[in-house]
Amino acid sequence: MQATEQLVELRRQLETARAHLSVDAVHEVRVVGRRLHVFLLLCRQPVLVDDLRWLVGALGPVRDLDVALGLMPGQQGAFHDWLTTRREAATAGALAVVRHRRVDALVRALAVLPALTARQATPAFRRLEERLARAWRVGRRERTVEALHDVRKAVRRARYALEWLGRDAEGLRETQGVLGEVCDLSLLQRLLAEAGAPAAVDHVDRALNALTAAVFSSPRLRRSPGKARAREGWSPATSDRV
Amino acid sequence: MELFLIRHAIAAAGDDDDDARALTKKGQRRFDAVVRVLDGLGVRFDRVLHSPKLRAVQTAARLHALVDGGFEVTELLAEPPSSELLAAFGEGRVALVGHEPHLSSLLSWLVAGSPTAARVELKKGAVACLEGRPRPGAMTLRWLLPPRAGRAC
Repeated sequence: MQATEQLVELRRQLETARAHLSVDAVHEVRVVGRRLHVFLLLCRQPVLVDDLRWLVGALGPVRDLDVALGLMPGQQGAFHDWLTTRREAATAGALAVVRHRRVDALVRALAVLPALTARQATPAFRRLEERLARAWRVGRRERTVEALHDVRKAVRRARYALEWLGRDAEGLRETQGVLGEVCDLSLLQRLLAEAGAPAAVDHVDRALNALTAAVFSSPRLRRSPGKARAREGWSPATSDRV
Repeated sequence: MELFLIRHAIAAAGDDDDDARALTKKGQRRFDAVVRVLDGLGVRFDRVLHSPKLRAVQTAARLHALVDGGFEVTELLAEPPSSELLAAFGEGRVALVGHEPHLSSLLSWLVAGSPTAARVELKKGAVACLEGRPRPGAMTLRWLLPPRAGRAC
């Protein structure tokens, strides 16, 4: 497996983002950045991870505001205006990052990383599986939104790892989608609190707690989406160079 | 601040793409021995700046156990030393993983005030430790570790 295809996508999305930091460009740069991060994890490559984290993280505040705005399409009002103003303010910093020379150096370094075989990726993939299983165990015990955030992150990494290995990750993709909705609600709650709307925060809090409990009780998700489900998609014994 | 100038370890001979030259097994083995010496000396880095060329990326990765902070890739280390590079150092214990002749020019610039004032040989995998303010002529060369030091241990 090589980073080539995702690197082409990163270059394409960066070009778009540098011209105009659209909702899609911000999202896609973050997605490709995270996929490449997982590639580095599979390579057990400690270098360039911080650079990717810096790029993806710098776009986080803009993405958060885009997600919140997306949850209220067509709506107007004080909170909508507050989000829009914050988005405009956050854009300058994010643009400076996507146009930074460090990003060019990062792309240049990623372009010459050697290919990775499935066998070489096995130890790191096992660790991602274990991390997912552990996050899920903690989540079921604590049943908090914070724990659910950790599960979502672990699910995303395991999913991208499977995709890098060319295997079916549909189950994890669906799980990530469900967890994402809870996390979006949690984000909305945080932004409402920052905007000074306590009544709305309480309203969202009730919905969030109910939704979190429902997720952890869901028969579909009750079985850990960790090791077992990840292995459904990939067995190193049957994997060759991909 | 403490500045560590580290030349990449032995890499495969050049082909069409200089950026893509990887470390050889011998280069990896010898640089790992250098890392063990650095570890024994108690050397730790707050940050590692490295060039985007593969041999520098792979050399920087082998320093991982000595890094308390993070890594940062910069094209400034694949170019002749510049004021922009000096501004990127920051504070603390910073390692720079790069190439010749730029690293020895940088060393000369920081220690003697001019990129050509001092003639220094940095072999592949060598480490030079400088101390002081990262300004031309304002740093002191504390020690220079040749790669063969790793073989002696």
